[in-house]
Amino acid sequence: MLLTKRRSLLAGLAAAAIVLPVMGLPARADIQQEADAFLTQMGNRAISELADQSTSEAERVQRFRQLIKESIDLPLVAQQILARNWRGASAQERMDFTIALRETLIVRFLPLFNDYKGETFDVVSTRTSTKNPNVVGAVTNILAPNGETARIEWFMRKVGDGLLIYDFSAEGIRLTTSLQDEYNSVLRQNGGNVGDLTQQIEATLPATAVLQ
Amino acid sequence: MTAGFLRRPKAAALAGILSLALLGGCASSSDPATNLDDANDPLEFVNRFTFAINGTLDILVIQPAAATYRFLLPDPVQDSIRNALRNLNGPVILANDLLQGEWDRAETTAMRFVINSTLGVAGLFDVAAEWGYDYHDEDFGQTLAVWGVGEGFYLVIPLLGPSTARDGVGMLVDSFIDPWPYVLDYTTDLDDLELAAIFIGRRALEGIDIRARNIEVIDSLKADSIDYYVRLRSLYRQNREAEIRNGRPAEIPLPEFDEIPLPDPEEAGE
Repeated sequence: MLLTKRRSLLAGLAAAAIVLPVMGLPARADIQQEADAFLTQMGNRAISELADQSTSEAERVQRFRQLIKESIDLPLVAQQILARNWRGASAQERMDFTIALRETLIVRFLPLFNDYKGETFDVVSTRTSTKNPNVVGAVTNILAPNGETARIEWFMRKVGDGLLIYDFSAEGIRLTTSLQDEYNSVLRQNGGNVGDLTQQIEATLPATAVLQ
Repeated sequence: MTAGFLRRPKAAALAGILSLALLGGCASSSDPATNLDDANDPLEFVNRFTFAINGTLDILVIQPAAATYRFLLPDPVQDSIRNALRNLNGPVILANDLLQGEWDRAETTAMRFVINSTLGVAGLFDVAAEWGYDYHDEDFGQTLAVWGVGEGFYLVIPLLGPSTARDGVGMLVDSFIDPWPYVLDYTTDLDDLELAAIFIGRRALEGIDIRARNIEVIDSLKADSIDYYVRLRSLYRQNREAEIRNGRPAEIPLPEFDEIPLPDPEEAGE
């Protein structure tokens, strides 16, 4: 009796060992293909809309805002950056910080499209998180301003029917880690005042930044 | 300078003691990899002071020199200078590849050195890269990391900038591994002062070349940082961690959630 139970258990485990990885494969492949398509589409759109020097700066900034809204999970990025300070911030402070963060990204990254010289935005590899099948990373190679090719990895997660970016790293340097280190150092000095931090960020932004 | 430095037992002993002291700091690190969540910057007050002096020197001397260098020299000449400097570092990179047990990378470094020193005209032309032997950097700080030594406390070195206890020791060891001071010392009649001038000049040229290639990047970093010191500290550590991994990807970071609702994406994205 005991032997029979053991055999059943072993047979069950063996079946699970065979079936589960196979069942997991299509899902992993799907999300990786989805990530490839999502990033390719976003990259092509960014190049066509942001590198077009015939349009005004204000128009390109507005297009970038729209692209961020549709491609990046900005509130989640903000939450990761503020880390434990997010919990102590009021809803208004969280909102103001998120908007200041968006404008910082625009100021930081829009100029990269000014020197666009026909480079392509190709996804060279994708991988699914070993811990969460709804999280995927995808690598693109981009020509950096110093003339060298930079390896950018984008981290995305499933949100509803699509994917949204929640972080990215350039040559191993992550956006959220860099800003988290810096902003949390400021927050340690000002007693965790997110409103004050946001004001300091806003002070680095151009007068044309939209802060509401 | 280094060869002369080696000839002085007291100076070498001092360097040894300094290295041990710094490595002691590394050993106290809780994690053999990097401590990105922990500033580990007990010398922050002194570091910020050194950082301010370095920043002033950068504004007054280094940045103008880098801008002039970039303005005067055509791109191919700048590339050749960088190629030659990288080639001179070949033996140090090779030693560290071997110390890390990275045999394939060691072979690449050795082939690069042989090809570029000959066909590449003393390293001026990177012929090896065209043959598939791409450049990579390696240093003793990375070797220590591979051996399991923690990064230790953060350190800003006068003129040289961001570092850590481990990387500071690594820099010192690399200067002993570097064969060129010994070669020049034993093949020429140059005195210590002249040797020192040559090696300081080489390091200065490396610094100006790197600075010249990153003028806009650094300007942009300065402009949008609210604490430039912390931003550079973070970038330095993350960059070193990536270098130590030799390009192997880190685990995908998972976003952390809490129970507090996020702002309305419609409003945040408007």
